[in-house]
Amino acid sequence: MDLYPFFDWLDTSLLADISKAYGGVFAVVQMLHLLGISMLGGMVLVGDLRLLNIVMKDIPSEVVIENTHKWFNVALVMIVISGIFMSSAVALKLYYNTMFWAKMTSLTAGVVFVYAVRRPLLKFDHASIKPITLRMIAITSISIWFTVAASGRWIGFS
Amino acid sequence: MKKETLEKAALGFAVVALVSIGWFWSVQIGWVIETLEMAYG
Repeated sequence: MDLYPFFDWLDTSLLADISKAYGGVFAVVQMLHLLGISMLGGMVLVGDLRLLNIVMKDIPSEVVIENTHKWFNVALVMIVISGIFMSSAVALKLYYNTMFWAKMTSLTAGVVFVYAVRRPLLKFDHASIKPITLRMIAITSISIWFTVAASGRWIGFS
Repeated sequence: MKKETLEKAALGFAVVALVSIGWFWSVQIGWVIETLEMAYG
């Protein structure tokens, strides 16, 4: 499936006009994007390090996962909305950028992993789940979201 | 979905994701080393 028509449309959309013409607006949206990334990263680290039994050992992991997931959702919405706005400024440049597609692929994998596997499984009592599975979930989650963030930063150098 | 099925799915997803991520970053780091070698010998 070729997504070029979408990027071509985005490059000439009203969103692109605003993001290209108003540097101040772009800066504020970029700030929200970075805030969302830090919030998402924080929620992932707290939840997954708890699953690995490294932090917050005095609080049940079910409670930590439940609370971090709420803010994870908020952060993800912030990131996606602000990300679409920011990408409209350089839509065609991003279309030809390999690292952008690496980021999108890992982001898709991360979203599928969280909502189709991690979340449904962690709704069960954690004591009833094999410890190796909990550890693998935590390590995979940290690795995927690290790749999303790092490949996103790499776009700036490529 | 049953817990056992989800556990298997989680482990399967984890293996595929970790292998892919490992491959991806090894290619990127290899590319950086290659670039540095071209620049500095």
